[in-house]
Amino acid sequence: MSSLKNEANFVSLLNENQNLVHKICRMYTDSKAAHDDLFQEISIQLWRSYDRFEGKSKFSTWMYRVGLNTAITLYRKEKKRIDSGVLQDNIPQIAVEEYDSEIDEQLAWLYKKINAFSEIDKALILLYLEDKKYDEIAETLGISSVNARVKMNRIKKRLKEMINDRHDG
Amino acid sequence: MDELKLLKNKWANQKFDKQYSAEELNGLIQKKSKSSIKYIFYLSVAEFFLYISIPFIVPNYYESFDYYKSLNLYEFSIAISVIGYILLLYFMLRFFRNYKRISVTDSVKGHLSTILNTRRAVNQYIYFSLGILLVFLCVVMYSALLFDENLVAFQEKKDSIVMIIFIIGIVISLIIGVFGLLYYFLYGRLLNPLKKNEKELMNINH
Repeated sequence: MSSLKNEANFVSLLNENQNLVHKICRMYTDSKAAHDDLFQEISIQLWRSYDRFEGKSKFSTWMYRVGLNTAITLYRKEKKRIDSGVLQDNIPQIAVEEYDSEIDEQLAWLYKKINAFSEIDKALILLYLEDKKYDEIAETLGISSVNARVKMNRIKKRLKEMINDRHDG
Repeated sequence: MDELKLLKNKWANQKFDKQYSAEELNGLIQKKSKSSIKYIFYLSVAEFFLYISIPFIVPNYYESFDYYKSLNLYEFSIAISVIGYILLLYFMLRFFRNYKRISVTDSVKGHLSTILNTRRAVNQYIYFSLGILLVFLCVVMYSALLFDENLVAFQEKKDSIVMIIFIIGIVISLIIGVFGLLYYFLYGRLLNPLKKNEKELMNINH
């Protein structure tokens, strides 16, 4: 009975915070099918480790760790290889248009832009946009607070330059 | 700075097409994990057991000790076998200790490092084993050329010691080559992205 209650509690917490999982999936995948697959995998990993969630930190904070660990290490989807350069150029646009019809145009642009970034940089950008404190970023990624601060300043600068370039272009 | 604030604002309020219901989420968490990393560990365990089972699957494994005796290498071959199994035990313990430490709730760097260290124990075991095997083969080969009557007679007849060494060299290179390719396909593709991420996080800390 208690395990059923546990499961119900977990599902309700996941339900409340599902947008966060969607954000991670959106950042680390480039198609709707891969997004759904990653969402499922993160949900499974969250549920499997839910016993170890002791409530010391916020549920959402704990979700970043499990979500990012799943996206960065546990889950690898083979990318389909397309040899033609012409085709490759066209694919991201098609993917973005088909992905989320409701999504804000600037966010769609952002996701497309950061698709080429490294997996670690994507994690840093996500944590920056989520407005996380340096300590929490450091703890999530396993880096020092000082380095988290330095990295965040670089990420901010990079995002700013990207926005400026977009306006200029 | 305002532009960034605006972006953060949009980020915080973004909506996604798909919103799962509680029932759907309940269904999702019952499904099987598709994580590909776990296969690395299944394969690692299989490798260890393959090494343990060598005496049982190699034909005439125990008879080969009689041959080593004839080459005056009996004690040497026993010592090599004992060292081989001590190494196996040590690396298996290391492997399972690290494996138990892997936790998805760890920090990203911690998680990457424990996964990679777990696998590294297997890799190091392979390198040590291959190294010992190579030393053993060289010693047996050298002794065989000195004491094996068939080979001694063969040398006298054809004087082809260079040829024999050449053939042995090719066989050893082929074995190492096949192992290398197998490793590249089995592990390289899965582990290289993890190594890249670990390195990137280490660089941030330096």
